[in-house]
Amino acid sequence: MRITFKYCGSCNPEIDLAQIGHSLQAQVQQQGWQLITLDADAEVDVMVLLCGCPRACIDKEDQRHQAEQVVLVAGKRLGWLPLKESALPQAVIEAIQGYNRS
Amino acid sequence: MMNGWQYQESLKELKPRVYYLGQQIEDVVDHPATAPHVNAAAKIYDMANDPVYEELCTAVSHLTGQKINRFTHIHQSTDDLTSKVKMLRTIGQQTASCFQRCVGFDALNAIYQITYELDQAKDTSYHRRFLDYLKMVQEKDLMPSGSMTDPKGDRSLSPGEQADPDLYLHIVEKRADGIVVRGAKAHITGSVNSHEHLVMPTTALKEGEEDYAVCFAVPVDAPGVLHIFGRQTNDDRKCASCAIDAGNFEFGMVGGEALVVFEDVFVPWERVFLCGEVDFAYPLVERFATFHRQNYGGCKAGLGDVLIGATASVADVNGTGRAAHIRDKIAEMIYLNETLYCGSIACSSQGFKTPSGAYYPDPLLANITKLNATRSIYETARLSQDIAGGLLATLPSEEDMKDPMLGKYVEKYFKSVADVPTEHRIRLLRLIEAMTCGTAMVESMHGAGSPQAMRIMVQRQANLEQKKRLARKLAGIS
Repeated sequence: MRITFKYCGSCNPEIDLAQIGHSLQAQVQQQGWQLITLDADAEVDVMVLLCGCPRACIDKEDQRHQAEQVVLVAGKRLGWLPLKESALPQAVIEAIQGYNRS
Repeated sequence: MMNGWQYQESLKELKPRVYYLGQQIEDVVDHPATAPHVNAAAKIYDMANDPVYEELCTAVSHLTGQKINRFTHIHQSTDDLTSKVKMLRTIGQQTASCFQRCVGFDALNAIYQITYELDQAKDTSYHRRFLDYLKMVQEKDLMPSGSMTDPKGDRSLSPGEQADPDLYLHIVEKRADGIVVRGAKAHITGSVNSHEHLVMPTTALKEGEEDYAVCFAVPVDAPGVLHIFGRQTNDDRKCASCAIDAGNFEFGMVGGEALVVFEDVFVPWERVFLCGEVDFAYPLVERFATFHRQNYGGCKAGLGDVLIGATASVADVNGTGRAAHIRDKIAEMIYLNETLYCGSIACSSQGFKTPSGAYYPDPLLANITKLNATRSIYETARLSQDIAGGLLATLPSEEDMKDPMLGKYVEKYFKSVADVPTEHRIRLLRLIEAMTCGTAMVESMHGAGSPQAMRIMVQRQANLEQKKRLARKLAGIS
């Protein structure tokens, strides 16, 4: 699995995106997945959009086309499911595992 | 879509029970107490049919593809949220008063989103019911009230703990064909000249308070519904002989609020959109409150445009328009007014898509917008009164102005610059009086919730811990 993270910029966040990113990075490595940098030629299986609030500024169609699957963190939500901040990293990993199985 | 005249005719077909000063009002369209508020709402219907305003005042229904009045639209984008604010400002400029229809508009959008999320969570069918209702509202171009605030009784007690259970509207009976509700909703804007009441809970509820978790729609003339129309500052000026003294005779002040009493009112199931789900009561309150707080930099900025214009005109009439301190104060009024507008535009542009697909303004910024309104509108009014002068409080009456014996003294001694009729000066001052003295100001404070309600939501929405982390990092604290 080739995973990439894309951050929104975190201008007025509900959550600590940097900390969630660090946590996710460690868990991605534990899973044996490949964390790659997003560039024009990159082949990406799952892109994790890390947005600090529900505005989800980077959740755009052209962005989504760069990966097979997208997991959206939008403040204290995974997709539109409200979650505690502390539960977000694990929920993201489980979402990626779900794509991996399918 | 209806036009203003058709809206007024549609009200005449209803028979709501409306009381004012101990008397029943038979026709809200023609009664002097209620007519200005009907006129203000009718203005919306006319503007939607006017090519100059149709871009803002109409939308395309996502349900039917038909052109509809924007006040019945479900926001499909941040552009829709922004257009709403621009529309409100434009109508505010034309009425200088509350035109009322935004409350039901916000209720429609909040209920749309919450019923969808409720159905997803609990496998209920409220959203389908609500879609049927919404289609009917859009097709008939109806004006529902947004009825949220309960009388609340003892504020230290929750709904289920009140000595009188009716102090929060609640279900008293569930039947095979529907529910029966009892209680009241307080200071409901536009309620006597709406077609329908859209009723929502007013606060967070807990287990054991299921009867209070109720959302529904009824016609304003449903059996058991009655309205006690509120008094306003100077409401005895709402008469044909007081057209100048009223200040804004055509459109009045604020929204013509009333206490709406529900005395064992039957609601069929197809009009029930929440029934006992206490965990969805507060989300509905919060959703509606955010939509409604989004508005205050729209409509109030429109009113501010009129107030600034009236104040600058009075300064010209007084001969002080070119004085540096007056120009500075006018600039301050413009700054305050546009800052208020910025808030509404910002929370709209930063809005986002919810699970139903409908859009929602940024709740933190929307609450900040309304909190600003509770201060800046007072400051704008203070500056207006400063410039206008003490005549605001001491002008003689219109009757004296028109009196054969007294009129010449009013004309002579209230004259200012030579080429402006005294009556024009008085008309401008009366408009400022109507907009800055009394009821209109209180609406800026408490409409869409009192300031503390916004502060609570601001505390919930703002990430204080993140701000602490930023400070600690820069202060060198690990």
